[in-house]
Amino acid sequence: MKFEIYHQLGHNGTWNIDSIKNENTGEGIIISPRSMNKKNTEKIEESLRKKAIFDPLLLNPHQVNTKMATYDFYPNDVMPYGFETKQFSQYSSIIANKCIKFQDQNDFRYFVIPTRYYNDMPPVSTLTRILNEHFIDPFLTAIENLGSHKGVIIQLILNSNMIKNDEYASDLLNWITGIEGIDGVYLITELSPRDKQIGDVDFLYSLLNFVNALSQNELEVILGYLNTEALLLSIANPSIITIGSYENTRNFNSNNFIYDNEKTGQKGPTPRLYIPRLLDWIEHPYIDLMNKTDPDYIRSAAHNEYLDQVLKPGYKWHFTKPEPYKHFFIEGYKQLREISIVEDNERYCEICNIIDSATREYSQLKEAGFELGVAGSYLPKWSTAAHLFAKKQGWRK
Amino acid sequence: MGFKSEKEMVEAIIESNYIKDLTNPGPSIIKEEVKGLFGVPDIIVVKKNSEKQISYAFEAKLTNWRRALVQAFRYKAFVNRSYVIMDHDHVAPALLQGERFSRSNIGLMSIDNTGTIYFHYHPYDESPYSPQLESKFNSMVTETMPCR
Repeated sequence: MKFEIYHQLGHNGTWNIDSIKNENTGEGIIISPRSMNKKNTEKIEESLRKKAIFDPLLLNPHQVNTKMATYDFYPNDVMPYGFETKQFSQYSSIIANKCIKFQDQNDFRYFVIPTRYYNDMPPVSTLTRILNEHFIDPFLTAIENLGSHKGVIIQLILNSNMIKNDEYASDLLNWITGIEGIDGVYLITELSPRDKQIGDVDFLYSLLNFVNALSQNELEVILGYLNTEALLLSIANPSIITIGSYENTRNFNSNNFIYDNEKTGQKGPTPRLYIPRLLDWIEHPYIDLMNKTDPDYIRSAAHNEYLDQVLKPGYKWHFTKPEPYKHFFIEGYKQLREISIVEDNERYCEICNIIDSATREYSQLKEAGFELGVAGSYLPKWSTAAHLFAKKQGWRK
Repeated sequence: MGFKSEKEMVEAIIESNYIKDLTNPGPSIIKEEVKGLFGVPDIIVVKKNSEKQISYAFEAKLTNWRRALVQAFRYKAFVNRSYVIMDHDHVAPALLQGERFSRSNIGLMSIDNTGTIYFHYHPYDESPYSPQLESKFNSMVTETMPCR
């Protein structure tokens, strides 16, 4: 199945929107109230808004930031004493009605039913009871009352222990596939602790199986908060894959949703540029070095107009500047789009070729004297996860 | 007997005749743990004369030469010469990888606990590979940071 590519909007979401409009780097956007207030969400151009997915973001109902506070459906606004778990059921219908009304008025692509985040592993029966009671039942009722026939997506945030535990994941799948009236899942996963790239074979393989099982059950699968592992996960046949700018839109970290600890004055990360042939974001001094030692390499590996801008003498790299991200939107989209047109076994083979080629490129860089440390060390693990999955699908002996 | 800690080793390097020779005569700067660039070198030395300035970065490691090499390679973004200095008792594995030091142009030295420095690979001078970090480094060492 050909998948679509959506932008996970975060801070400076206009960069993503401009890129989609001007450079055709995506089919849609996922809007987060954390980084876009109600007024700005409503102001999004209609054609884009109608294709957009709205994430109601109730994963941490204790917390709202100033942008979220502009919406009227958060517990702090609805519940007289703020969010309390024990009281929530009494207010869940009001919250559902307000949230669905907002989604309906803005005519987003789907109705999205929000979820809670758990960092531990409550028994599946407890987890599903809470999600049913707090979100799924009241939201489905609110949608039914509207009489709309638009698609319904449930959001699910799973931690790595949930995904990696076969029995737990299987029970969750049974529950999801038994929910009447939904068309798909907006799946977010958290691997903690993690490096910038995911090197946990068990997690990747389990996630591939989980996504594939949802897809096999004819549910649409939207994968949120993805870094370059998006490419690997595409072999599990998701419907929508996401790309993002800042790291917090490419790597789900529940700590980013605790707003009373909003950090200020922290040193930003070293700016990076995405090199598709290396399947990774490379720190800017190494980009300068590549440009110095072999300008043809860097131009052939990642050329677009934003590369020219960042390679101009005197360009001041900073993680808040748009050029590296806009460069990624073009290169990341191009890479995913090429993969999306092939399917199943062919997609698996193509991705293996890309991974193998990246591995060779890292070796060549090392031969040329680049000491990049652990860069690229996750690639053999991606290959292993892909091969295990392919074997299970019968694509590989 | 080798060093007990990297801190002890860094102190020994700074007190060594090699560093004394490097910084004399003429104006020079020695700093420890310079932050805010691309990695944190254990020691940096900037040697100036009327014609030019040469900057050095040193990464000291008791045993892990691989990590030291990667770190030293980062420092080449802003200095002219970057070195790994190993505890002399544990330098043998790094010596087997001389080619990696040579092709990345990272110097390799070792020091024993008498303060004697052993030279294994001398890098040649190169321009720092990141103009932005070179400029930031020069500002930091010459303007904002106190001399040791």
